[in-house]
Formats: sequence, structure tokens, C-alpha cells
Amino acid sequence: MGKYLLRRIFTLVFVLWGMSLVTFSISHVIPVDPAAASAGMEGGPEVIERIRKELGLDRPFHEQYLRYMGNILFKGDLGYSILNKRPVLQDIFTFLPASIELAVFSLLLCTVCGILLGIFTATRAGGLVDALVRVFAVGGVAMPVFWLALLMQLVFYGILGWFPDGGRLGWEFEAPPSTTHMFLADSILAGRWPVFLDTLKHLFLPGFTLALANIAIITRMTRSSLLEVLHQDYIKAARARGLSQLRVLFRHALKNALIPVVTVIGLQLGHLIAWVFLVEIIFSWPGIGSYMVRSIINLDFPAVMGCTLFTSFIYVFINLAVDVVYVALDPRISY
Amino acid sequence: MVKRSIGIFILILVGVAFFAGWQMFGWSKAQGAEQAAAKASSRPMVWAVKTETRGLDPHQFDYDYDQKPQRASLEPLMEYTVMPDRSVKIVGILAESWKGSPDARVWTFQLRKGIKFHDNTPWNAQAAKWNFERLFALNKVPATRIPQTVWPEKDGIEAVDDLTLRITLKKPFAPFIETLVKKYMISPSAAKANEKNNDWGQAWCVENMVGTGPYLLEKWVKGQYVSFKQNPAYWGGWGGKHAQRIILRYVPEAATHRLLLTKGDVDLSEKIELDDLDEVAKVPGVVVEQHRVPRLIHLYMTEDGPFKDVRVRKAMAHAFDYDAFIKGVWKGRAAKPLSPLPSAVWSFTPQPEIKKDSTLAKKLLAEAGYASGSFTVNIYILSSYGWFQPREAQILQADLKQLGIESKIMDIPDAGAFITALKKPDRGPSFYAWTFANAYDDPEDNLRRSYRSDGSLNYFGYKNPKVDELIDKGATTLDQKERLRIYGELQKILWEEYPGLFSAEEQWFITRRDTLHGYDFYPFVINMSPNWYLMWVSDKTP
Repeated sequence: MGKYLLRRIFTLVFVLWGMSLVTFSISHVIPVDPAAASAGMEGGPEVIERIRKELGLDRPFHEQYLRYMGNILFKGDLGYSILNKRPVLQDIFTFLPASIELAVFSLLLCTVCGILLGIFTATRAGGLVDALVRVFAVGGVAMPVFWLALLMQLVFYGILGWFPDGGRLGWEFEAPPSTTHMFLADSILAGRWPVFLDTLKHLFLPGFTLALANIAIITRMTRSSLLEVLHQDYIKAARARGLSQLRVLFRHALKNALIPVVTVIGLQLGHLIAWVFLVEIIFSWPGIGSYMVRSIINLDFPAVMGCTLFTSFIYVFINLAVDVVYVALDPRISY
Repeated sequence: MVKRSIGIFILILVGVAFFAGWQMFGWSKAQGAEQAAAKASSRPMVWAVKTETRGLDPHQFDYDYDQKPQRASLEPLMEYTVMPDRSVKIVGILAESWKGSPDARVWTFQLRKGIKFHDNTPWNAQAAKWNFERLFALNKVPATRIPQTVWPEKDGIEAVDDLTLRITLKKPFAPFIETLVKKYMISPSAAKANEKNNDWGQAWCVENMVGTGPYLLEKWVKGQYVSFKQNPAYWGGWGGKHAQRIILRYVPEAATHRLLLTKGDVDLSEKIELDDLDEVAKVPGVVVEQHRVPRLIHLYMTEDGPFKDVRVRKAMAHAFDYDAFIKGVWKGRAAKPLSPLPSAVWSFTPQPEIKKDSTLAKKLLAEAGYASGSFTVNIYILSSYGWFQPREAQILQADLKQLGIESKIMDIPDAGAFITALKKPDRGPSFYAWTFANAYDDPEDNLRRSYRSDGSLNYFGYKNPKVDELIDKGATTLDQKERLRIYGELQKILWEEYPGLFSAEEQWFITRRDTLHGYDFYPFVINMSPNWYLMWVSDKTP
């Protein structure tokens, strides 16, 4: 296991280096000019040229890349945003916790709901409820996330008024003291229950929107995996020994049924990260996704590069974590 | 069984959609009793803005979305103000009065006394001097609104005494005062105390503001909102009706803007789509205002190939279907231009209307030797800067085809690539989409940058020594009557030379609630931030 981890970490370094080179190259090959974008249409050629020099964009490609990578490796400096002049790393740490909170909340929601629904339907296979849930699963996957987000906002904010339109916390509240930088956890730790409730209200719509498609997929995967396991001989033997349905289900069947589900959850996390920006835009959620969209639209290359590297690191790290979880679930797996 | 389940699911979906549609489009609030006479409310004034400010430093960032929050805490020497008779005048804010020398080079300002910055340091000539030195030293886009050729030397900015500032420009520049209406003043002490590596406090000022303004920055929650609270020590005092708190919420999605406005959760929304205006206007409590703005939409013609001939350019101008663009694309919510200057700008002089006239266009082309068209043009657009540009280009393409002229529409992804494409020597005869927005209420900025032969935005290669001479004269003459005459002559020359076809004059729409009071849209300076001090809100109607 230790050797495997070392090998994976070594690979991770290469993957990240490759990502940085590809992204940096693309940013210099595409026919756009961040200096002109910074100056705006009315900046004029002299202003654009001056900005280009200030940003070091007039230097040769290899010099720019080496300087950029040197700053990252030796100073932890991802450069400054062309758009707002703030350090990119500072912006990432400002916006990333909100996205992590949204992603974790969605992941928990879809994991818990998906697995529970999967168990429910697997134990009632062939019935009306099973059919409805399967239709819901197909619908959940088919509905585009942005459309679903707009619909949820329209119904639950616009019509019913049950939830706010968006944002992370009402302006009447102060953010809780930062420990995890996630408002839900921090408000619990600080004992600030009104803040906790308000955060939950703001988190629910975007979290549920993001989770819905994944609930559908996890439900189906859990159902089919569990059905397969429930037909195994050892389950029949367990039942024959007089064990209760719940004990059979949770102690014997579920653990084995969850192995493919864990894989799907890992993949769905990638889906969450990929689509989080759409949900963030519609619900005005101040996360890294909407920050990246703004950076891309405004050709803020340092911000785009920084976010890309960061996101790559998280994704690769999560894949590593999933592999470790496999081993924990199934001791037969070895690397 | 499965089919039945699917059927039930579809029925549920249709039901939800119908209910939602009925609620959304048949929305009606209680319309019974008349609204009581408006009383100032203690609730915060909330605006839904479409673009978050990039930073709070007025010497680094001065686009309209930057200046909106800046203006709450910062103030300029003088500002455009809408008078009771709806005229617009420049009124002194931190300066009581000012005077320019006859040659428009030396400008003297008498500053208002008894004002302090939020950190209790005095507003005086030394502070003003430092602000101007900083503005020019940083040399960012806000400074370039003043032509660099006229910037004062370092010793050209003097604190004559405690309340008198004198600026001696390198060259005469008549509209100097107009360029100052967006130059906000910050506390030198606060910036100096937070300097790093002699950066004039730039890094700190991006996220902090210490000014003389009526509101104190409460918090800036990135990606969410900026909030302000009243400055109890504001020199203007708090008699009368004023907002107690201001919240500028950053909302990127247009659909959310519509919901927020129609539900009354914001007092103003900046992002109601043109197609939604009619429906939104029907909602009780929503007010939709339409205003002229100094923004002119054009398609410039590069002086290449056939476009070197003014008859061909005139033919192009008469080929375009202005009605289709204004009525079809803008749904009638734009005006027909009658000058190379927008009608909202001082010195606008209407010229003879240019109408679509295919017969005339063909005749002109034949006179110029292009009877059957037979040449190809490029149409460069930058749709990320103007949603209407693709449709404008398509209308033009169809019109050109009628004359036998083939065209290729090129939608360039960003401003930098757009300018690069325009500067290519082999670009060929081309149209390029452009919208000029006057930075201040004077034609000098527009005319110099767009039509002077060395103008920074003169990508189409227009050259006319007479025009250059008139532009220079207009910039250096203090006599407004003479300037009016000069700019009138310039408009006539430019109109008759057809440097482009002027397709529409934009109009802007303010979509707000009737709970917002004191908001006077400044029709002449589109990048102007509202004067927050004059605004207040009444309680929401149920």
C-alpha cells in the first residue's frame, strides 16, 4: 500500500506538470490578448503596450513559463489577477471554500439520498415505487443542470418563497469565525445557530440542484448492485440462519454492493466539479466556478492558470483518495 | 406498469410547468389601495448589479461597475448634477469653484473647507495634490481619460495655499474640467500608511476606501455584495431623506434579476433583458424608464480598396436597413443617429437623415466603377461586447448581397484579437462594429480618439487635415460658442465623408421599484455613478 501511494504521488507530480504546460501553452497560442482585455476597447495601443510590458507578456514563451513555474514552486505565488490586481492564490482561498462546501453538501446529499433510495427500491423491486424512482432517475440525468437550477429558483424562491434566490449568507448575518472556512461547519463550531440555519437555507437549493442528477445515478447503481448481491448464496444462507432483513441488508449485503457505488460516487464528484460553475452562476454562489468563468471571459490568464492547476490537483487527489477507500472497503484489493 | 409510471411523471412535470408559467406570467400583486405618501424607510437600499467591481481604487479602476461602489465613500472635485429643470450642470463637490486661464492651460481650484476624510485627516490642497500626483504616477486607464500629451509636469501640480490647488497642463485643454468629474479623491494618510514597496498603497486601496463621502464601507464579501453604512460625520449632513444602508448585490444571472425585481427583493436591477421589459413593466411596483445615452453604434469602414472612394462608402450607408435594425433587433428601443456624435452629447448638431435607398446605392456604386458590386468585404464584430452585433452584421450582409457584394462575417472572441485583426495590413475593405461611449459630456474625447488621423481608436485609417485642425482647435478654445461652431462644422464634414455607417443610438433602460426615490439617471455621462447621498427607499408595498 505504501509503495502504491508513493507511485501515485510521483505520477501526480507528472500529471500536474503536464497540466501546467498544456494550459500555459494554450493560453499563449489562442489569438487573444490579455493586455488588450485589461485595457478595454478604449484603452488605445499605447496603454495596451504598457500593460503588456507590465505583465511580462512581451518576454519569450519559455522565459514566461519558467518564471511562472519558479514562482509557484519556490514562492507559492500564482501571480496576480489581471482583472482585479489581487494575488490569484488569495482569490482561490477566498472562493474555493464556498465551492467545496457546495460540493461536499451535494455529495453528502446525493450519497445519502441515492443509497437510501437505492436500498428502498432494491427491496421493492418491480413495484410502483420502484418504477417511479427509476423514471425519476432517468429524468434526473436527462435534465440539464442549468435548466433545473432555473426551475428550482423559479419555483422555490420565485413562487413559493421558501428559499432565498441565491448567495451564501444573508447580509443581516456576519460570517462565523473561520476554522474550516465552510459556514455550516464553522457556525456549528461557534454555536451560532441562526447563521447555521441561514447558511443551510442558502445552501439547499444549489446543493440539491447539483445533487439531483447524481442522486439518480447513485440510486440506480445502488439498486442494481444491491439486487445482484441480494441474490447471492451467502445472503440466502444469512436469511436461512434467521438474521433480520435489516441485519442482512446493512451488515452483509450493503458493504459488498457499495464497491461499484463508491466508484460511481468518485466519478460523480468529477461531474459535480464540472457543473458547479453553472449552479454557482444561477444561484450567485461565490465559488471558484463563477470566479473561473469571470476569469475566462475577461482573459485573466493568471487566474485561469491558477484555478486550472488547483482544480487538477484536487481532482487527482480525489482519485487517489477513492483508490484508498477501495482498499478499505475490500481487503482483497491490493496494488 | 413502467409506461403508466412514465405517464404519471410526465403529467406531474406538465402540471408543475403550467403552474409555474401561470404564476410567472400572470403574476399580479395586490393592486387595491393606493400607496401612501412615501416615507423614508430604515431598510437597506438594495441594487442587483450585473458586474462586480474589480477594485475600490479609483486611480486603478474607473469603469461604471467599479465606480458605483466607489462613489458611496469617495467624492470628486466636481460632478454632473441633474438640475430641477432637467438640465445637467457641473456642480462643485470637494471644490467650491474653479477657473481656467484664457489659454486653457492653468486651472485653479478653490477647495471646500471644513471637510475631513473618514480617518479624520483634513481635505485640503496638499491632499488634492497628492491625489493628482498618484493618478498620473500610476498611469492606469483612469489617467488616460486625460490625453497624456497635456498631463502636467510634476511641479505643475501645486498646493498654492491650504485650500487652493493649481494645475498647469503641458498644453491647452478646454474640456479639462469634464475629465475630472470621475476622479475621486482618497485619503493620502490612509494610502501612505499601507504602502508596500512604494506602490502608492495600490494593493491596499484595491479592497479599502477612505474618502470624504457620505457612506462608510461596511464590508465587501467577494462574489456576493458590497455594503455601506452612513458616515455620521459626513460634511453634507443628514437632514432630509437618505438611505441608511446601501447594498450592491452581485447577481450574474438575468433570470434571477427578473425574479428579484418583480418580487421586490431589490430596489433596482441592472440586467433585465430587452425581451423581458414589456412583461416586467406590467408588474405593479416596477418602473421602467427609458433614457438617451451618449452611445453610438456604428460600423466603421476601413479605407481599403473600394472603400477609399467616398461614393462607395456613401453607397454602403444607403444600403443598410436601419429600420430592420432599430425596429427588429432593438424592438424600437433605439434611435436613428443623425450625427457622428450621439444626440445626448453637448454640441450635437443634427445632419440630414440617411435612409436605406438601394437605388441610390446602386447608382453610386456604378459611378465609382462597381456597377455589379463584385467585391468582397469582411465584417468584423465583437459580439462579446455587443449582443446586437451578429444581427447587425447579418442585416448588413443581406443588404450588401442585393448590391452584388459578398461579405464574410468574422466574430472575433476578444478585444485584443479584434484590434489585432483590424491592424493587419492585408485586412482588405472591411466593416468593423464599434460602439463609442463618451466618457464625459464633451465631444472632444470621441472626436479626437476616433477621427483625428493619429487617434488611438482610428483603426479605419481616416485622414483629413482639416478635421485634425478643427479637433485641435476645439480642444484648446475656451469660448463655448466658438467650440459649438467648430464641432458643428466637424459633424458636417464627418457626416458627408461617411467614415462609417451609423446604425443606431442606444438607449438605456432603468428597471427599478417605485420604492426607490431620488435616483436621477444621468443621461449625458453613461459611466457616471449615481449620487447615493440623494437616494432613499420607502417601505416595500405588500
